[in-house]
Amino acid sequence: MTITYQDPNKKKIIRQPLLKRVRSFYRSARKSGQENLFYQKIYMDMSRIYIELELINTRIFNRVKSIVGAETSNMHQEDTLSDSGYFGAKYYDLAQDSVTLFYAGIDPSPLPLASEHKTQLYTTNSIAAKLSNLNFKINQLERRAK
Amino acid sequence: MSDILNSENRTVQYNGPVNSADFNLRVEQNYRDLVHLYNRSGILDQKLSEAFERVLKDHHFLSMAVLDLEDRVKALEYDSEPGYKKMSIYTYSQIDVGSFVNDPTFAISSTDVLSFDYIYNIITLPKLQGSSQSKLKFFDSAGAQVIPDFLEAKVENTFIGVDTTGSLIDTTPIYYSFLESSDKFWKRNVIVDTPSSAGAQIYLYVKIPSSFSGSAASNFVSLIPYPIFGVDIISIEYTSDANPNLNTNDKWTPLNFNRLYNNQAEAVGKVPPGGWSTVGGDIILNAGPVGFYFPSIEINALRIALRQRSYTTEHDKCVYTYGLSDMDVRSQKCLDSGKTIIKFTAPNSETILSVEEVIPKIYNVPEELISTAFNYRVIYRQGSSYTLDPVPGSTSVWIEVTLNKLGDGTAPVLSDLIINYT
Repeated sequence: MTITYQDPNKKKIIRQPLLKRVRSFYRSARKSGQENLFYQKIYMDMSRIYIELELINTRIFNRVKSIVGAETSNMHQEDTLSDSGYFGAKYYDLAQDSVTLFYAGIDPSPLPLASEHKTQLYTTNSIAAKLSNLNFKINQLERRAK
Repeated sequence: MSDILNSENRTVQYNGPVNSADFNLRVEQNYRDLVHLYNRSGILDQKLSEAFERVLKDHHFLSMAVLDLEDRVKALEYDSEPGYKKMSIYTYSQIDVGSFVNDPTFAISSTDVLSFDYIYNIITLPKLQGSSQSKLKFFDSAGAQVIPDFLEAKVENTFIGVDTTGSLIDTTPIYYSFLESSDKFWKRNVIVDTPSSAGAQIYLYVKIPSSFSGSAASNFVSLIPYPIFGVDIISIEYTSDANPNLNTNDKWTPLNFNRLYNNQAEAVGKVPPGGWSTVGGDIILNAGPVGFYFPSIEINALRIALRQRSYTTEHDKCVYTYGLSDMDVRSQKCLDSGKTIIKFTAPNSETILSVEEVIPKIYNVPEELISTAFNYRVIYRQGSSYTLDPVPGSTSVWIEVTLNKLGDGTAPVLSDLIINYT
């Protein structure tokens, strides 16, 4: 499933219920088989809708998590620095969705090209940490400027 | 869900529908409702995908804007002082231990590398995870978080402002702030008719369930306010009373009991608020994530003063929102000493003639003990090897940082490292 666009060729096909309309004359179904089939199909349809809603629920949670990041200091896990792997918890790994983001900076000269590419999406926690650091530095710069 | 159900509640007697019209109507109504539910779930999924696509792209470019800001602050800092050029830590990708793995002089054993925390911007001593523990929760054998059922937490809302007894409150459980999960956070919405210049303010009391951990000794407290950068942290205090009552009658001591960096404005946010001699001088306004290391002390309960000055209006009501999305109190064991190497690259491909000064920013160690807690070496690159002798024409230098535990057990926290160079 794509996460950065909607493929118009893969529009959601609305599924029809398993339940079929039946017409009965004079009275309700005389045979228990027909009546039982009716309720089985109702049950199966309800189950399918329930599963569908459960999947939507899971997707909402997973997607929020990928943006927000782990609500944790990560302190209970190993986070000592090594030459590799220490970025893990700071990003949502877009590579697992086959997504790569290309970015052009704001420097007007020379003409910026979208050459910087990333497969990791900064989480809210990472951005918050960066903003904290920026606040700290700007505070010091402001004091020096006074 | 369906706005209006087609299916009707019917009461029949004896043997169900007795004429075909009733029977057929029931089937038709059931069928229409099922079609509606299928459609609605499909539309929900579509809406979710589109909303996520928007959030994802906006989020990405906002984070890129933050990176651009880092570059611009770096440029401002570079020229901020006459006589020197200046660099500091802008991103933790400057930590560059990996380049020295095969160097016989500067290689650092993986167990001796300083730890860092990307949320709280903390570089500190190497941690001993096995003997460290949270005081608020533990992890069962399956890795699930468990909050002891005897943990006590409560809010006191007796301050002047909108959060008072009788206010309309919409809240989630406080213990949600102790759980590490994106969908679990403690929020407290205060809904009032008119705003107040005093805002909303509370004391949050948390009693440490030390009976499960066996000890009340702690040396680290971390908080992530909710909404992030939207809540003031006024004070953080603790009590060592054996049986705290979680009210003002307990003996409360500021977590910054040594009044470290008293009234030095640049330390705001780096020292626990509530300890300075000027009351309110160390309040963290619109706080981001904060984490504080201190000497190991007996903490039986914490008292945190939070304030919300901002509010939203909705349907003629004013809503003040505050809370915490993450909180922990830990006994964090560390090695006595550790090292790391941080890379500094001059902007615009400039060269570095010599490093004149290296200034550590450490706020949990008294100034007179900084030289005990911190020392450094400047490393230059010569060809494919590294040396301590200045190499003319260098575009990058590396600072090998050594942190040492203080005599009282404090693990020093390096918040930043500034180098002045020519």
